Parts: sequence; C-alpha cells; structure tokens
Amino acid sequence: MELKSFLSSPQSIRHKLMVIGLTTSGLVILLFLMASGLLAREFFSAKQAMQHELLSQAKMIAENSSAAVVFDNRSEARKILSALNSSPVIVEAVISLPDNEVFAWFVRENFQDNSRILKDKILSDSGFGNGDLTVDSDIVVDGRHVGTLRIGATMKPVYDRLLVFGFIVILLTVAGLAVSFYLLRQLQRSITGPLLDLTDMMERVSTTENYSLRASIETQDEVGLLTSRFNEMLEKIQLHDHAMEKELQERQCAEERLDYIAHYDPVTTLPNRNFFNVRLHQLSVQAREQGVRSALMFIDLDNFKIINDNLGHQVGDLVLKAVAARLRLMLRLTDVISRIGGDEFAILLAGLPASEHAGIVAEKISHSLAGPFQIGEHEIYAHASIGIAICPEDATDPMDLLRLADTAMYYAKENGRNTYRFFKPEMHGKAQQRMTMETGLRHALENGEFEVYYQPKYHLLRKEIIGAEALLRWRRPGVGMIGPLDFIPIAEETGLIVAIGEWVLNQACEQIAFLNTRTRTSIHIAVNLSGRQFKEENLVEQVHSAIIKAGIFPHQLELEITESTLVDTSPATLAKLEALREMGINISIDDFGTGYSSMSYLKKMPISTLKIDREFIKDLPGDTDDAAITSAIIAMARSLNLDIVAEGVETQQQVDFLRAHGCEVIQGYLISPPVPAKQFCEMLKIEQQQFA
Amino acid sequence: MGLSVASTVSAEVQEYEIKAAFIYNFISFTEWPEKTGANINICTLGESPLNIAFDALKKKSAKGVTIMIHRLRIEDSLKDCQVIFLGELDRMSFIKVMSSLKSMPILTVTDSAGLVEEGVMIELGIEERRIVFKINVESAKKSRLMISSKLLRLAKVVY
Repeated sequence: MELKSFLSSPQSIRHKLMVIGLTTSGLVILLFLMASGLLAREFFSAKQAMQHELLSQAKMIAENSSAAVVFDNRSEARKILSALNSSPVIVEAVISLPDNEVFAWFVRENFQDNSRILKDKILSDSGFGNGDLTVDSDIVVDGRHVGTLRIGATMKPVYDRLLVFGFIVILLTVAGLAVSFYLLRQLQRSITGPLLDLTDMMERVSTTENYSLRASIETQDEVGLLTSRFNEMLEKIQLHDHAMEKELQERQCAEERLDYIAHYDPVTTLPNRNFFNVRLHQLSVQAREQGVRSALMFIDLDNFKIINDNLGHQVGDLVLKAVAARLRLMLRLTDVISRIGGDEFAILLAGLPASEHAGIVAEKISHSLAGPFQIGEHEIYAHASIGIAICPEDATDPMDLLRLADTAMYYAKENGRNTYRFFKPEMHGKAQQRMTMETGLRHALENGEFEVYYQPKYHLLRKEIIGAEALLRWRRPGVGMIGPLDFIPIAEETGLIVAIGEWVLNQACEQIAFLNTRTRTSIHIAVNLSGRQFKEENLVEQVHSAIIKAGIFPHQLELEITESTLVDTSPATLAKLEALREMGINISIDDFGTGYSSMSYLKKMPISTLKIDREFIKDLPGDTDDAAITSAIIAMARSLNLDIVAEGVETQQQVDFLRAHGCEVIQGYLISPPVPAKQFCEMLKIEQQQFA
Repeated sequence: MGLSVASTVSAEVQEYEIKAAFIYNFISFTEWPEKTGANINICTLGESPLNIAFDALKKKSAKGVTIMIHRLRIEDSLKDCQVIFLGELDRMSFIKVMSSLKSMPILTVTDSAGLVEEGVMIELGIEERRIVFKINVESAKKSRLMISSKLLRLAKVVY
C-alpha cells in the first residue's frame, strides 16, 4: 500500500505531517470550494432561469391583459391572471394601475394567507420579501403605460433541489472527513506505534535490567532517530554497567586483599601484628576475668640479618616462609602464630595448665629450627632466640607482655643464642639498659659524644708505624667510654651506622690531613665499613667527597670490610669496590678467616690487604691449628701478592712467629692500644725524632 | 398620461368620456391594411353627446401619430377617415353611409343599439352599469381591418 510505504519511508515526521495535513486540508478545502461553487452556481442559474421564465410569462400576461386593463374589464383580467395557475412556481400576480390601484390579482390557493402581504407590498412598492422572486412587467398599450403586472414566485423547488445538493455535499464532506481520519490515523499509528514499541522496550529494559536488549528500528524518521539514539544509550549503559561491575569486582578484590594484608603477612601468610594484637587482647581479658593462663613467645632469628644482607631479600623471604612453616607444625590449631616484625615471630599459647608447658614448646621449636633450611642451592641455618612471658603471672597488659617477652628474648640472645628464656624480673635492668642505649645512640652524633681512636700498625722490618686503624669510641655522659662491640650492633640494627660511619670516615680523612702537615705523608689510616654502609648507593661519592674535602692522597685511606660483606659478589658490589680501587683507595679484608671463606673471591675482588683475625693470633705459637691456619693465610696472601696485617698481637713470641712466616705488619697491644688522635700524633712525632 | 377608465359609470358625463376613451383605445387594438397618413382621423357622423367628449382626444396620439377629430356631414367624403363614429342618424343616412363605406378600411363605431348586427364593427352599450361593446368581426374582415384578439376577448362577438 502506497500510504503505508510513505509512512515508513525515511521522510521526517515533520514532512509526513505536512504532506498529510496539506493533503487532508486541501481535500476538505477543495470539497468545500467545489460544493459551494456548485451550490452557488446552481442557485444563481436556477434563479436566473426562473427569472427569465417569469419575465417571459409576465410579458405574455401583461400583453394579454393590456386590453382588459384599458377597457376596465377586471373579470377578464382575473381570468387572464388565473392562467398562471398552470405554472407551479408562481404563487401570486397583481395588476396595478399607474395610480397604484390594484386592478386584479391572482393567488394560488395554498398561498392565500400571504396574498395580503404581497398586495400591501405592492401598494407600498417596497419590493418583495422572504427571498422569493418577483418580476414586474409594464402593461403597455400602443406605447402608453397603462398598468403594471407583478408576478411573485416561490423558489421552493430551487431550494428543494439545493437541499438535495447540500445533502450530497454533506455526504461528500463526511467522506472527506473519513478519508482524513484514515490518513491521520495511519500517520498517528506510524508515529505512536514505534513510540509505543520503544516505551515497551524501555519498560522491559528497566524491569529486566538487561542492557543488552536493543529496539528494532523500523522507520528512518525522527522516531527512528530516537530509537537509534536510545540504542546507543543502551550500549553506553551496557558498557558502563560492565565497567561498573568490573570496577566493583576489582574493588571487592582489592578490599579483600587489603583486608588480607591488614591481617596477614604476605610473606609468610601468617597473621600479622594487628591480628595478633587483637588475639592478645582477648587472651589478656580472659586471663584477668577467668584466670586462663597463656604464654606469649617472642622469637627472633639469630643470624637473619646476615642472610638477608648477603643472600638478598628473596632468599631471606624464603627463609622466613620456611621458618613459619616449621613453627606452624609445632603448634596446636588454637595457638596463634604471627610475624610481627622483620625476623620476629610471636606465638600465643592459650589455655596452658602450667607455665612449664611453654618451655616444652620452646624446646621443640628450638630443636626444629636447629636443622638447616634448603633454599635453592643454599643450605641455611636460622637459629632462633626465644623469650617467654606468662600471662597472668608476669603481666596481664598486652603491651607489658610483649615488652617482657622481648626482654626475655634478648636475654636468650645474649646467653649464647639458639635458646629460650622465661622472663624473670631481674632481666628488666638489662633490657632497659639496651633501650636507653638505643635512645642515647640516636642523640650521640648530634651531641658530639663520639670520638675516633687510632690503633697503630707497625712494620716489623722498617721498624716504624705505617698507619693506624680508626676505631670508634662513645664517650657516653654519665656512663663513660663504651667500646664498639657494645653499641655497633645496635647502631646497625637501627640504621644509625650509616650516619655514624660517614662521620668516622670524615674524621679519619681530616686526621690524615692533619698528620700530613705535622708528621709525614706516608701514614695511612684504615676505616671500618659495615655491610650496611656498603649497601648505600652513594658510598663511592661519600668517600670521594671526604678525600677531596680533606685534601689527602687517596692511597692514604684504607677501607676495611668484613668477609661477609664480600660474600655478596653482585655486580653492584663489585662495581663499588672497583670504583674505590680505581680512585686509589686500598681495601682490606677484616677478621680474615672467620667468615664464609671462599678463596675464589680473593682473586676476583680488587683488594689489597688481608687482616688475620685476632682469634688465630691469640694462641700463637702454641696452638698448632692456629699456627697452621695463620701460616697458610700468610702464604696465600703472599702468593696472591696481597699485603697482610696481623691483629691482636700481644707477645714477642707472636711477633717472632709472624715474622718467621712472612707477616711484616702487626697491630695490637704489644705496640699500642687504640689512642686518641692527639696521642697518635705524638707517637709519630717521637718516632720521627728517634729516627732523626 | 393615458386615459384612465373609471370602473363604474356614476354620471352621464363620465359615460361619454369613457366611451370616447374606449374609442380611442380601439385604435390601439386595430390594424389598418395600409399605412395611415400623418394623422389618425376620427370622424363623427350625426349628433351625439359623445361629440363633445371627443374634444378630449384632440392632439392625442395613437400608433405614433396625432389624432384629429373631424365632424362630417353625410355628404362629406369618408375616405380619409380611419375611424367613423356613427351618432344619431336616420335610417337612410345610415344605409347610405354603410354603403359608401362598403369595404373601405375604416373602423366603424356606434353607441346605438342594434347597429352591430347591421354591419357596424363596434357597438358600445351599457350593461350592469358597465360599458360593454360588441364587435362584428365579419364587417372588420370585409374592410380588411384586423381587430386584436385581446379586444375580441372583451367583446360580445357578433358574426
């Protein structure tokens, strides 16, 4: 159907509305014009024809009646007029004389009543009413006007005909309206149909929340446009919905993960400190209220720092994991084990019948950790020191319990490691001492409480001091001088060693510069470099700037590192060593022979000196083992073309042995204990005077 | 203004005036065989009260020409008359006139009763106080005068 194809055509609704509106209104206007035109035409032509007819009739009658008028024969006149009876439209006729006297008249029977009106009208000569037709005709005799004939006709037949015509017009109009209605309804359907479909679709989408639904596009007009925009919107919502869902999932995941991280340690998958604190709090409440006995164990791995520093964090983490696994095996399900620090674990043993049970558990733990861990190619030992505090006997406050267990643990550590200790009240003092030392250490540097001492190195053949080892002393207010063994481990643990080490380095360099001006420039001073310092990124720059600042020869500075530092043969370490060596700085291995001795590194590393550990020197020359080791080290160093220094030399016998085996430089109390800078300077001056 | 005709005859004067008017109007409904001259001549023969009334017709026109009134005697020539009114005539005179007229195209009119049957074309009379007339169609035909049918309808036709 044509209309249907028009309505679904890609024309705009505006266009469709216009076309259909114009068509229908045009149709109606056309109908109206046609009808009214025809009606008017019909009316006028009918009227004209009638008038024409009437006029000819009137003329005939006037002609015929002229004699009657002239000869005053009224009855004859009436007779003539009555002939009009045969013409059905003529309802009346009047002959009047010039003086307006009515001479004769004719009235159709059923119009009798109106005749008077007609007569009156003729008398007043004011025309004819009621829309009916009148015609006048003069009655003339031989050119003389002798009277007037007026004929009145009804137009009823015309009106009747027009009525029929009007009825047809109405019929046509109704038909036109019907067509318009049909057209407009088709139009309305073509618009509202798709809109209703769209509405249904929207409802379906909103009820099912299925955003993958799409409305079908049936027309290319505004509704089609609306539909496609709606589809686009759905698409966007769908994408958005997906994105939201995904984001929600990710967020949930992240939250779960955060929750996990908040309560669990990612390395060991054990509960973390937060979780542990909650449980500890619960147990402390139970202990207070129900007298339930629990034990808090504090476990610290003895040599984890060395493992971590030397084998890297990855290995360290694997060790922690393995330790956690072993610990878990030792415990009941109701016990809580948690990693609460770097290499610190805590265990809560709830509901103990007696405190001794905690000792048994600690024993088991110690024993289980005594065996080596196989981590990749490494075989690693991770012994632990364990401190135990019993609740409620020792304390009920969670923080107190932790502190007490920590104290007991340190006590265990100081008592030979790989063991456990119950907390005892007398431990308090020592633990506190350590605490105060830690805080004191933090302020020592800024308060200038550190002092560098120098222990001379003596050359046996040249018989002169060739240098010294810089050794740190802490002049602690109210306590006195403290040796490095007592505070360096704490400094290392807290990281203070980095700042302290830099300070010592600068001090030593300044001292060299001072000695250069006062004594001689052949003196070199060795500074100890901790493993921690060696890990610093800017170590080479630090050393370089210290030398430049002091204005000394690089070879006058010697850096002493321990064997364990060198176990890590990573490219970064090697690069630092080489950079230092290239600068002209000497590098010596401190305490040689005590560490993980792998001789291969000696060849690889750019080192210049080996220092034999005092442990080997101590019992020389009596101890054959020590003698053998010492002589072997000396031989090796010589073959590798390394300088060698013996530490802790205290007797002439030792000197004799060393000299016999080829060690030429010694350091120890036999020559001099570590002395303040000023005194060391004096020593050099005296020596110079002797030579001089 | 044409002559108006009273509906009823209320007085004698009026009667003659009406009769004169009738005669005047007869001219209008009559056709003469040949064209009349410059005037229409109405001639009267014999005495009649109408003779005075005819004066009113002087100078009037009919068929486009002026009406002239002529009082004739019996011996006068009648050939220029279009209309002859016969008044009171003795029998001889009447017969003489009628014979002289023979078939001349002259409309003959009288108000003397019984003359229409004797050949006068139109005879005026009074009936129920109204003026009526009789027409001898035969006479008119003989004289080649055409009297309008309209007129004939109003008349008592005599053959």
